[in-house]
Amino acid sequence: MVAQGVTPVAIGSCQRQCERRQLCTSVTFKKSKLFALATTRAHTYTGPMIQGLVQLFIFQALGELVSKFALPFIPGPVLGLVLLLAYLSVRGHVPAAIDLVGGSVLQHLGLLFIPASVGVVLYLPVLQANAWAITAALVVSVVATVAVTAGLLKVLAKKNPTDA
Amino acid sequence: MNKEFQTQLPPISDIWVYLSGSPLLALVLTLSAYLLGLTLYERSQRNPLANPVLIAVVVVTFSISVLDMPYAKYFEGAQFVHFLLGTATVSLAIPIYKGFASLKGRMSVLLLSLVAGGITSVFTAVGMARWLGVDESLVRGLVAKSVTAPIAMGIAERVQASPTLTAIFAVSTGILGAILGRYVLDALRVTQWWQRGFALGVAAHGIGTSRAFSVHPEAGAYASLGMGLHGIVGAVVIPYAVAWWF
Repeated sequence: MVAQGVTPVAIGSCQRQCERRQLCTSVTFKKSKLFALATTRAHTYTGPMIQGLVQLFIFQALGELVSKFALPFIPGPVLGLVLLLAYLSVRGHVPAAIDLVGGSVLQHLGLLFIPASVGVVLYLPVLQANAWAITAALVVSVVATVAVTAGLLKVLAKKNPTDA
Repeated sequence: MNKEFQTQLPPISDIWVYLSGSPLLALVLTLSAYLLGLTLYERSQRNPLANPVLIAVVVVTFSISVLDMPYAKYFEGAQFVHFLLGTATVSLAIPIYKGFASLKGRMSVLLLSLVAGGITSVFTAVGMARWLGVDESLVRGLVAKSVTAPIAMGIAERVQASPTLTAIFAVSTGILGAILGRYVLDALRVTQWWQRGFALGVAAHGIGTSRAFSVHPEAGAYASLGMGLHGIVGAVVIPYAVAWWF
């Protein structure tokens, strides 16, 4: 019963049913603190995690479907993002379950890049032959991108002091 | 024949064959390398040079070459981690949604800077690479490198670039941006956290965002916003730009 994650409401109704039918012999246990603790734990910890994961997967799958059948020029995950954004705007807040799971996935975003980047081993010969040029291009590009984005933000924000 | 085969193998290689056949080895390798990277990053007082992803990639690459494990074999196991990139992309809706609330009319300013930054990113990378005579097969991989890796890989497929190569360039850009961003922003005397974060998110996507979050929460929120918006805009615009330019 604990493993099923019964909510406090469900315990109450279960107790009433049990008492009415006089079938339940362990009412004292069910009223005990231990039982309440175990069931609330099951509710607060396992519930939202699975809920959040399922909801995110549903939006991911919807995105893939829309990408496959309607908008093939936009990657599925991006459409999933847009759909989730629309859902959040309709709801008016971020549901706790999605916030919990999405937040923890994003917190360790770096981890998720590792498998793809280890693919560097496949391209070592061609990369080594162009190593300096590629490094130079990447460094110049990233420095220029940070500089242009931040520089423009700074200038534009100064022009509109109300934004500060 | 099967029996003969078994008697030839000592028990230790039996275990080895079993382990390398299951996804566990690749998963344990990936996660422990990341954990090691995180530990070293914390130990070094979050020095940008001790980037946890860079450390992890070096450790995993070194380990699989020592173990003589082909990349395809490694990826078979590590794909479970890789799969979550799509979920992470969808989750980007959360910081974007939360970011909208605190924008207070900054949206037009942010979008303008984003577009300028995105154009700068593509043109400087492709321009520099061609000018320095980089192999044309590699140049295409540079097009989407400032977009967050899962979206970049999707764009790569659409512009006939190698998704793996694009992912490598995207991650390298992220690591470089996370390391160098701070010095560029200091040199330009950009002091507002939201401006610093947004620029990092646009230029260095996920890894820059991780870095921004570890420095300041406001910078992190705006970095996620920058990364997410760049992802959406990039996914729509970059394939057309490439079709027109190449």
